[in-house]
Amino acid sequence: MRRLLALWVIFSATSVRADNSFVAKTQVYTDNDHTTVVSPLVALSRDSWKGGTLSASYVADVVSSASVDVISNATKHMDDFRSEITGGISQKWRASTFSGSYIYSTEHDYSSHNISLGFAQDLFQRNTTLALGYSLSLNSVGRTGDQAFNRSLTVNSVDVSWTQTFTPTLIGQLSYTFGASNGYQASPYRFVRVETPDLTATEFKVPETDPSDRYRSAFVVGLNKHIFKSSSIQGDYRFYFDTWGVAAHTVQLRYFVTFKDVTLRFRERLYYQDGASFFRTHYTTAALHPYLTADRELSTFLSNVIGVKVSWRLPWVHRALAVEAKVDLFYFDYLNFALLSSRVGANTELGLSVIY
Amino acid sequence: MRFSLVAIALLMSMASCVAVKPYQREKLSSPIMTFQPDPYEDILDLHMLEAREAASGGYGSAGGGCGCN
Repeated sequence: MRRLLALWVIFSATSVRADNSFVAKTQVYTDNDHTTVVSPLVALSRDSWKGGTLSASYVADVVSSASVDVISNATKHMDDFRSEITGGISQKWRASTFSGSYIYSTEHDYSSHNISLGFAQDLFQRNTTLALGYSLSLNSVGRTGDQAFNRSLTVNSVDVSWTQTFTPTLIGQLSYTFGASNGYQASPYRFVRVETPDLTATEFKVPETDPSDRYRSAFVVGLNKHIFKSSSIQGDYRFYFDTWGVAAHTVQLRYFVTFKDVTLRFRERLYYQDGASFFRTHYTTAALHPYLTADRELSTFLSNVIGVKVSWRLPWVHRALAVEAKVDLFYFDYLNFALLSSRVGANTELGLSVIY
Repeated sequence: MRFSLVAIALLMSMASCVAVKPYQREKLSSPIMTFQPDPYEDILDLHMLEAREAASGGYGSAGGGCGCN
């Protein structure tokens, strides 16, 4: 669920940057479950008229995987390519900002159309900002080698946030997202083993089946405190729950420090989730199961991300040119997933941005 | 519902009492004081995380399918 984030990008383009901007990044994800994802991104933003901003971006995912997910589907290796284009527009008028965006995402067996609308209002001498967003996503799910397989998924999301300055060095934010997903939400490739009651043998395999409706809620509270001469410390907590029985807690701490043209960010993110109510480590013929899943993302697990990012402005090259590099190391501990007990890896990124 | 409306009214009235003047906002206007200093990084980061976790949303983001299944 990141579609309304596109609106944040557009809000940011309107409210923070007063010029045109170009951003290019490449993220590389790799883990010990034999998966690598390379994700290049380019984005342009242009102040086209008074208060009006146009923006466009392109993101791709180049996926190469031989994970337990892939191997359990009787395939040795999987390659995939996803493209996503985004177009956005925003208009600032006095203390209000209106925005809209369209996103089209496609891969060989999946396509998605998304429309987002947003509104933000500054209040009380700009000490308060209220923002409201809505997103509609229409998805079509196919299956390689099966022309007859075609499923749909519709997602509606509403997002509201309240950002408040408390003191000249302290700012806070409360936000809430509600999402309703209706349609096909399983993997068309994933099959679930149904075992004998004594777990000594696999009786048969069945296609994964998830409930067709899922309603999600996420609350976030965050604080950002400026400390010392040019540092800040940010903390946020998210509580998430949905109608599939998943409940998750996320805590993140970030510390920023600036030395002249260099900004460092240190980050730690802790995540824990209780798995879906219908997730089982083993499904057996001893019981009836209306829903069966072998999706590790629906199991009970915890994860930890720790990382550092450096951003370096190069004013002797261009007045607003910056380059950046990031390394995040992560660890996932699966507590009741039979095929994998843990996963470790790294998420690295290189990028540059220029305002002109 | 009534409690929520009262809570919102209370929070808004408290918010209206906060008066950080424009000339006091030098530190608040620093890029390191924004909750999402790099939204494009967040797009990539959240895409990676949301394909591997059941939870999503809450950070000013929401939406739907993107081949993450």
